[in-house]
Formats: sequence, C-alpha cells, structure tokens
Amino acid sequence: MLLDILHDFGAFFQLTAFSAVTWQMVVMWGVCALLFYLGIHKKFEPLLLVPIAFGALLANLPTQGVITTAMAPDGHLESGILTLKMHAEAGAIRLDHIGGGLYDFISQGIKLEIFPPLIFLGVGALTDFGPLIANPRTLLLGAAAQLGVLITFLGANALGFTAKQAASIGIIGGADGPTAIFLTSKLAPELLGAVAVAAYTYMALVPLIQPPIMRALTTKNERRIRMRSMRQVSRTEKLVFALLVTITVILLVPAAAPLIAMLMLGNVLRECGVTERLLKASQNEIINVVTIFLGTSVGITMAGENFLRPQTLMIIGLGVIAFGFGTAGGVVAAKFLNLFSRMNPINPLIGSAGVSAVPMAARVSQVEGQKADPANFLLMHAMGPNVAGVIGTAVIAGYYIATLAK
Amino acid sequence: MIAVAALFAVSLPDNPTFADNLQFQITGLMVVVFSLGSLALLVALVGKLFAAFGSKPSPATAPAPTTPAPGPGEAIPAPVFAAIAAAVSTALGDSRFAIRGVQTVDPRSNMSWGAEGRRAIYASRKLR
Repeated sequence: MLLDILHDFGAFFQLTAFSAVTWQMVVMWGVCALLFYLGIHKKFEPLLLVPIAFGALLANLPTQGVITTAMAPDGHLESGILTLKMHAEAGAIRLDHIGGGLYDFISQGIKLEIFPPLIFLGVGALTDFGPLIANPRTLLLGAAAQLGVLITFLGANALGFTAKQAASIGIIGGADGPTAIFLTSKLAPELLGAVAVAAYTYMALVPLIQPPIMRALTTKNERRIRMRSMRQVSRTEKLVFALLVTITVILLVPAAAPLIAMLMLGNVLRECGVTERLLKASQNEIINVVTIFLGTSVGITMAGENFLRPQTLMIIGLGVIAFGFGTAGGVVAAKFLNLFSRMNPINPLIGSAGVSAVPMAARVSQVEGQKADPANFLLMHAMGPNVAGVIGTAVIAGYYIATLAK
Repeated sequence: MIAVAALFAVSLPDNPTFADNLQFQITGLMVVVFSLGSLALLVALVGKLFAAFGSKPSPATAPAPTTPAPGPGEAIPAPVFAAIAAAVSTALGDSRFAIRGVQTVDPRSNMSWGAEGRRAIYASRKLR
C-alpha cells in the first residue's frame, strides 16, 4: 500500500514542472528579483519595470498556455509561435484553429508595432507643448541630444553588433521607451528585452547620470543664467503646432509616421477642447492598459537562454554611453546657440533635457539650476527641449527604419 | 526635402567600414537637425503671425482677475493661510516669514476642532 502511494506520488511528480527548470531560469529569477527591487523599492520607472519583471518571471517558468517557444535556426529561443490550421473548401480557405498561448496573442501588440504608437497617443494627450512653442529654439536642443544615439551606434557596431542591432542599442540614448521598443521590435527583436530594460532603468537613473556631465560642461556663471519669461501660448496656436508637426515630420521622415501621428493625435484631442471623453480615455485607460501589456510582453521576451549572454552586458554598458553623450550634446548645443543670442541666452542646463525622459530630465535641469541660483526656476524652460527630444527621437528612429529595415 | 533626398541616397553596405558608419551617422544627425530646425522656423513664423493678429491666450493662462484676493476669515481660513505661509517660507529657504500669533477660530467653522487642537499646540510653545 505504501509503495503504491509512493508510486502514485512519483507519477504525479512527473506531471509537475520541476523537471523542466533549467539553470538559466534560476539565474533569471535573480534578475527578476533585481528588477522587482528596482521597480518597487527604488521606484525606478515602476509602471514599466514591474510589468517587465513579472513578464520576465513568466518567461523563465515552465508555463503552459502562456507563451509558446521554439528554437530558431540561429540557436536563439524564439517566443510567440502561433499555429494556424486551415483547409481549402470549395475554392475558399477555412480557418479551423489558431493555436498559441495567452502572450502569443497579447505580444502581437509589439510584433505588429501597435503598442508603442498607442503609448504615444497617451503621451501626446498628457503633454503640453506650450513651452516648446513659446521658445522654438529649444527644438534644436532636442535634435542635438540625439548625438548619444548616433555615437552609440558607432560604438555598438565597433563591438560587433550588426547595423540593425547597433541602431536598436543606440536608440536607448533617446531615453524614450516606446520609441526604443518600436525600433527594436522592427530591426532587432532578439534584443528587445535587454534594450527595453536598459532604456527604462537608465531613464530612472537620469538624476544620477546627468548632473556630473552637466556640471563638467558648464561654468557656474552659465548655470546661473536666468532665462526670459515665456510668452503665453493660445490654444489655437497649440492646435496649429500639432498639425504642423504632423505634416512636416511625416513629409520629411515618413517612417516615423506611426509614432508622430499618434503623438499628435493625442495632443489634438488635448488642445481642441471638445473631446473631453476621448482625452480622458487617452490619458488614463488606454495608456494604462497598453502599459501593462507592453511591459509584460517585453518581459516575456527575456527567456534566460536569450538574456544571459555577453551581449546583454554590452548593451547595458552602451546604454550609459548613449545617455552620457545625449546629455553632453544638448548642453553643448545650448552653449553654441548662446553665441548667436547674447541678448536672450539659454541656460545650458536645459540642454540636457533634450534626451526626453519626460519629465525627469527637466526636473534635473531645475534642480541643478537651483543649486547654482536658488531663485532660478528652469523647469518650464526645460520642458521645451524635453518634449522636443520626444519628436527628435521619433525622427531618428524613422531615419533608421527608412534606411535599415529592408 | 533635403532630408527626404538624403534618406533615398543613404544606404549602409553589408560590411560597412568605420568611415561608412560615420557618414551614415552624420547624415542621420543632419536629418534630425534639418527636421527639427525646419519645425523651429515654422513654429516661430506661426508665433509671429499669431502675435500680429492678436490671438488671445488660452483660458488656462489668462491673467489673474482684478478683484482683490479674499483675506483671512473670508474664503480661506486662517490656518490654511498659515500653512501656505509656512510652505512658502520652506520653499524659499529664508526667514522672512514668521507665525506672529494664532487666533481662535469661529466655532461654526467646520475646521474648528482641528484648528483648536493646533491652537493648543502652538500656545504651548514659544512663538518666533
């Protein structure tokens, strides 16, 4: 009798998933714990890092019905395998069955490049472009801060990454999560997990990464510069701006259209004043729901077999370089612009906000400015390059897609 | 249009040299600077047009009403004023603000119990 019980218990044990646990999964549990710690305890971009960490945990458990994986010809584990069964009938094809786990379907939002533009809809609905419109020069700071993206591309390529992979790593320097995910899913989906984690982690570390670079590149007198008060911007002018950006950027860089179009659609809903319900949905429900699915879908690409590679460490290292050069590019550009506008100078500290990371980077400019002059308020001035950085990153992503996604 | 032309012209070889990569990145920087620079010019132009035709600012940024602000005891209770003054003092980091005294409040006010508690606490301490 006892033997029978032991036998049955042994048979039941065979049905459990313990035997499917690999050493990579166990190591990744530690990585997930670190991500949970950073997201929950340190509050590093928790809205994204917590879903990413949970998705990564699911990816490293022997789940059933969550995600289907298979070994790709190049040896890496490919997730999200959908199986279609269909048959021809009287000249028509009939679909009998679609197979796949829960996240095989949900993560189509990333593979079909739907989630990042939807996040941009919410970002547009939440963003006030007034400071940018009041001081259009700051658009150039948003452009200069893309220097980090370009230099990191060169570094990544020199380290052996392909051009598509290098572009995906470089875009970390744009400090814009949805754009990084959009570009990486298009050019180098095998790096999606590492790029997204690096992008969101460094965005949270902006208050640590940027200040030393900002101080090193500016004198105390430059940090004390008080900028002129901004003019008031009417709602009509904001509406015209949204339409102007949509038309101009799509004409110049059509590949950036999904991101720019949704960003500006959200902003039009905000500024037109007659779509209150749509605006609230964009600012709250849509962006929140999509954030949950985007985060977990990114996390679920972090299977140990893919993530535990030297490449991941290189990506994390290159991410810091990207942020550093982006910050430096913005600050130096502001100093350069001051050569031509001595009567209305720009405080170079706001240049660093051109790396996006809205509004964290603008807050860093404000804090650093107040260290030099406690009565100087740079926050609203820094919001100009900050939102310009979002547009700039979308443009550079469009450039890479247009030239590399062949 | 230069940017569009550059996009069509730019292509990276399969095995690019450092010079190829550098050229590719410089073109990318030009595309971004040109795109955002064009936008800056257009936005500045539109701004001047709006200024010329005297467009009114949005209601959110309209000037403050000319009616005098309510004083203590009118719309904003005195303890709230004290809290605002303390917040301003803390934010500005100087000693130009001091609590001179705390008065008893109207017992009909719905803040009376809390205010009375605070009054008792303040009364037990030496005021600046």
